[in-house]
Amino acid sequence: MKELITKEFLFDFFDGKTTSIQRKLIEEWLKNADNEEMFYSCVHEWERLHPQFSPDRQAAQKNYELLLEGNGEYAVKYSSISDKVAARNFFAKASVWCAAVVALLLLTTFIFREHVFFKIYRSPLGQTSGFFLTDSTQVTLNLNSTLKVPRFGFGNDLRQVQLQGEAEFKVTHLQNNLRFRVLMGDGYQIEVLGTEFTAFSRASGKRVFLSKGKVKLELPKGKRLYMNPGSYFSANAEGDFKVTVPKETLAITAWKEQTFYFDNTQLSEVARQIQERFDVTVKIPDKNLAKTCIGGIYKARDADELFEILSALLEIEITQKSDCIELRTTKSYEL
Amino acid sequence: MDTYRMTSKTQSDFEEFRSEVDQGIPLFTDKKIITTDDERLLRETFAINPKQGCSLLFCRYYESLCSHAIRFVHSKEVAEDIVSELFASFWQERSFDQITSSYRAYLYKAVRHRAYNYLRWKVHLTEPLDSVSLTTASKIVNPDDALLYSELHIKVEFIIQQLPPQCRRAYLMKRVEGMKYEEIASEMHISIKAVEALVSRALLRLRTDLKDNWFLGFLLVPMF
Repeated sequence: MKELITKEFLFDFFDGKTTSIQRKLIEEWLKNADNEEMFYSCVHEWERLHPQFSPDRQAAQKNYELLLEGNGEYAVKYSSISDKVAARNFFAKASVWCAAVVALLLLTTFIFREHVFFKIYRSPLGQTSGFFLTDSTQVTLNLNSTLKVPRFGFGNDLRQVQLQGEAEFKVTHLQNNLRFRVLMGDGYQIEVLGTEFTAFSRASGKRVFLSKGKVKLELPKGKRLYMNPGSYFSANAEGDFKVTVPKETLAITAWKEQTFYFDNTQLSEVARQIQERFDVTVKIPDKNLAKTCIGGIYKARDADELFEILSALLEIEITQKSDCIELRTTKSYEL
Repeated sequence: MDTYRMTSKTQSDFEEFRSEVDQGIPLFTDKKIITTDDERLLRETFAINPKQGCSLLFCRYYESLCSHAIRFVHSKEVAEDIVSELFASFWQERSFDQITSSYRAYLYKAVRHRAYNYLRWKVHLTEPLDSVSLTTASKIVNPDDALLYSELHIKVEFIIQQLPPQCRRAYLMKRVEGMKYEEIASEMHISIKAVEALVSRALLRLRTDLKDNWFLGFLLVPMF
């Protein structure tokens, strides 16, 4: 039987010219493993004699040499095709899962990057909070304020924090003269070496009060300002600013003792301060009432406490509305 | 003197000849065991320097393997990719260490398997592809396999031959030459829509014919 199966016989088979009986012969013949070698040898020769097209071997070989030399590009190029061919294999590979996990981790880190790279300080409800930063700078954070500090240390160039709200800083002067910078948003920033100051940063405006030392204030549009102790910088939302030297600083620093300092202060201004500190909207529809002035130092940990005091003081009615608190004169007061 | 010299010369020649024969005998028996000796040089190269071995192997078999692969997949690009991919994994997974057959037999079996996998993926587009690893598949020896693969490309060829001429022409330009629909349309002087219809008709024919007559039977082969 072996003599029957020749190269020509197999070639005929490859060309589809054999009968099913002849096929049976080849099948029998192939049961001998040695013959399998001959079979593929014939396949090879047949292919060499009947090329279907002329592939660009030189280019392919060049790529292959790159792979052999450990250049990964080739592998990457062809692994994408093997994914196409074996779509299901794709998820069976451990490396793919590893990559997916890493990608997910990176994505999560990216989404929560603020929380990962920064420690965010927030005052507890209805209380100011005091703490020290890693460089032993003392911070007192007002209600309704946040301070973002780099979680993994300040680095060697700059101590930089971001403030939203109001805080008092007692910045320690480091031996290497490392600058301390407070970013206040909207292009405002404070830069110091070692001083004590109070910074206020909200949408309604920016304020800085310097009690000791010297600060450099960077303003929007590249303007800058140096402040001396006791001076008070305030800018409104439109960007107009002024620097004054107030005689009485209690009003500025009162928040630290959870007090309000009013010195012949109009009620509209009182409402504004309440709004700032407790983040509640206060409305006074009556213009006359808004112009009423009050004075004194009042301790109030939350808005309700202050309203209580005010209602006792002025005989006003305080109504809680869905989005704000309204102050009105009581009827008896009108009469 | 002259005579002596001559004799001595012949004697030494004879001895040289004898020693060649003596050395030749073990080589000859070696050949018998391995059965194919045209890859001996390759094997020796692999033993010393696998990198160079792969390179030689690539040089020797790339073109004919591509030619073999295209019979199944009908696309120059895919055929070349399949072969390149095969050589890449041959090196990366050090398949050459595990080969018991000749390199040629291994490579042809592997390329057939890969081409078959591609074709099956094409034909059963909606069904998930079996994740058959190449090494396990090529280890299982089934005398029928070699025949089945050959018959597969014959069948594919037959189906294409049976297509109407226009349909076949469009299909070959699209698949084998990798031309764009616009290019085919301008060459055949028909609309792009018509080309698309012709190509999809050819693919559908290929799909249904392979599925109904042939592939289902093939899928029953226990190797998968």
